[in-house]
Amino acid sequence: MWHNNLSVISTHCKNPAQQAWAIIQGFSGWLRIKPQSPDGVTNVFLLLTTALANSRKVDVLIANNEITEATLR
Amino acid sequence: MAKDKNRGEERTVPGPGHPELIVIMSPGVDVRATPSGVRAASDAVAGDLTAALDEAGAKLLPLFGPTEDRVRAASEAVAGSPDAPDLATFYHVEAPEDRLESLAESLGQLDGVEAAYVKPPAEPAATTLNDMAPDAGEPPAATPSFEARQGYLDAAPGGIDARYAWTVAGGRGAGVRVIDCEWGWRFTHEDLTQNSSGVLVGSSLSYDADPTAATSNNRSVNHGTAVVGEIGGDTNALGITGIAPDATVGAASFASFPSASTIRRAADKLGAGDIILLEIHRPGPRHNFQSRDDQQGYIAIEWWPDDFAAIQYAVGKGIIVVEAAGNGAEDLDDGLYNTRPASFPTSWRNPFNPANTSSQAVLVGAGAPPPGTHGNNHGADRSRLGFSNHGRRVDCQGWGREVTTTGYGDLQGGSDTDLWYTDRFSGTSSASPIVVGALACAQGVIRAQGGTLLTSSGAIAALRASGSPQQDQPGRPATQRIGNRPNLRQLIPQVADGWSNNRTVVRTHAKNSAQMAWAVLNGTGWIRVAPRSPDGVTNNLAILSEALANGRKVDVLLQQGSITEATIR
Repeated sequence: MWHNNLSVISTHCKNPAQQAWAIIQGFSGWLRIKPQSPDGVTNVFLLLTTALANSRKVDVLIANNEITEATLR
Repeated sequence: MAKDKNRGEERTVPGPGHPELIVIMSPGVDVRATPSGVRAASDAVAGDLTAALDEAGAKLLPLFGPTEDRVRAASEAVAGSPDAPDLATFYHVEAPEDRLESLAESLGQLDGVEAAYVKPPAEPAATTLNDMAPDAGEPPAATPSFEARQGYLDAAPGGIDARYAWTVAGGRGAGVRVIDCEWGWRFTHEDLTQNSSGVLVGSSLSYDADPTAATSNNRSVNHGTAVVGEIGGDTNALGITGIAPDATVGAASFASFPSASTIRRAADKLGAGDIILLEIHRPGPRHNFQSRDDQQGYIAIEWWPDDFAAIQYAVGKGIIVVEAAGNGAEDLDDGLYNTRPASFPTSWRNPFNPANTSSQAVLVGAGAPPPGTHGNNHGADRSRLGFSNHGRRVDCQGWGREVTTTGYGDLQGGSDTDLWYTDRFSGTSSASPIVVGALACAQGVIRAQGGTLLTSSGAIAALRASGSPQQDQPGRPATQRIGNRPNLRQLIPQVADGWSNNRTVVRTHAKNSAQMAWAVLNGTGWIRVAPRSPDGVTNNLAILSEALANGRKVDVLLQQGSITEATIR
């Protein structure tokens, strides 16, 4: 489901393919960006990282503790 | 101009229109026509007018609004042509029809009266071509889809490629309002339920008790129903689909007001970027302004000064006006049309002559559909149909035969008129809604991008510079101009593409699937970053997101409704 207007607490990635995570306000622990396609994971990760670095809020679509979509506000 | 016989008495089926007596006062006479009588700066002028009107049992009414002062105030708020006439000087005379000609002659001789003329009864621009009889058989429980019969939706050159437009954000006409001006509609039709706004000006004519009879009312309602179906028929699994099904389509009725007044009222319901369609033509000078069953010699209404002024008013508001060229088989370049009728103002110039001031309405002729459409052959694809008016003033063409749409009942009939469909809608009447639909699709794309909306003159330029060219047919060469058939695959990039500079990024969005990234710019909906390569999409998204996060502006290149390049400022 969608969770709106949240802060990004931290982001993390590894150098293997499609390995990216974030900690989102209100959620405990790391949420992985669901692997689907390499650039798709990068795009979502880019939004989350940009939000974190610039103190912006995001809307995130989360299912089964994985992020599939994000909107930068 | 109109003679005594010009009221349809000798017609097989008289048209729905009536003659109109229009009076134009000279500037500075300062007339006030009120319910209690006529006043003027000069008592002599007021007295002469009153005497002439009283003698005929007539009443003088401002044509374009309740009072001269209100008309003038509204006109001044519109950035129209600098040489546009003062609409407050136009009047409509209510009088018994058999007194109109003599009254016009009397009024035209008075001091302070610049012109007084009778306009012949107007008609839908295709009445006699559309003699389809409804099928008596009852339809199936669920109407089947007829979309495969709507070849005009298909790719160019046969169609206008509406199906392409539907793949572009806004390309189904979202946010665009259209008003169809004619006499009758059936807005309760099963395929006109989603985005119809109904009759916004005046009242619609209705089917007669026997809707299958060949009567003026039945023809008028079928005609309007067919027109609005072409433009805005519902998106569903049954019947037809309109060219711009997300556009909001309403109607203004000539049955309630003089034609120019109806146009003005329709314009006041709309805003910049919306569209007015004029489904009307009149007997012209070729046959002495006489109504005829065959509609030979009928011409577009902008030739009459008050209708021309009303169109200029709408265009001045930023509205695109689309006008049927008429089914009179006339060469509008003929010198006949340069001859000013004695009852017209001396300042009048033939608007069909490109050397003169244009109304800036998009004038639409009727072209042949591809041979074989519905098993019929009307000549070479995109050749002028014999009934279509033609000339340098005609901007573009649409299908003038074989248009599948709502109404009439020859494709699907039965006892319920809300289920009627036709396979044979024809005329400049069927051609004009195709152009309206194409413009609504293009305008919807521009709206979705937050770009600069097309004006009527911009629409003319774009339609003339794109599309599938007119073709020759023996006896009907392409030199008898009706212009190109629109091609939305060309038209949309032409009007919507380009750099949009110094924009604010409001939102960015990404999915974890390949090349799925979007942005909202100030004034737009979601615009996709065009998928081409994964890293290219990511790079554009990075720029847009950095700009958003840091309050920076961007320049973006919009192509076919998507972002293809971005620059951070």
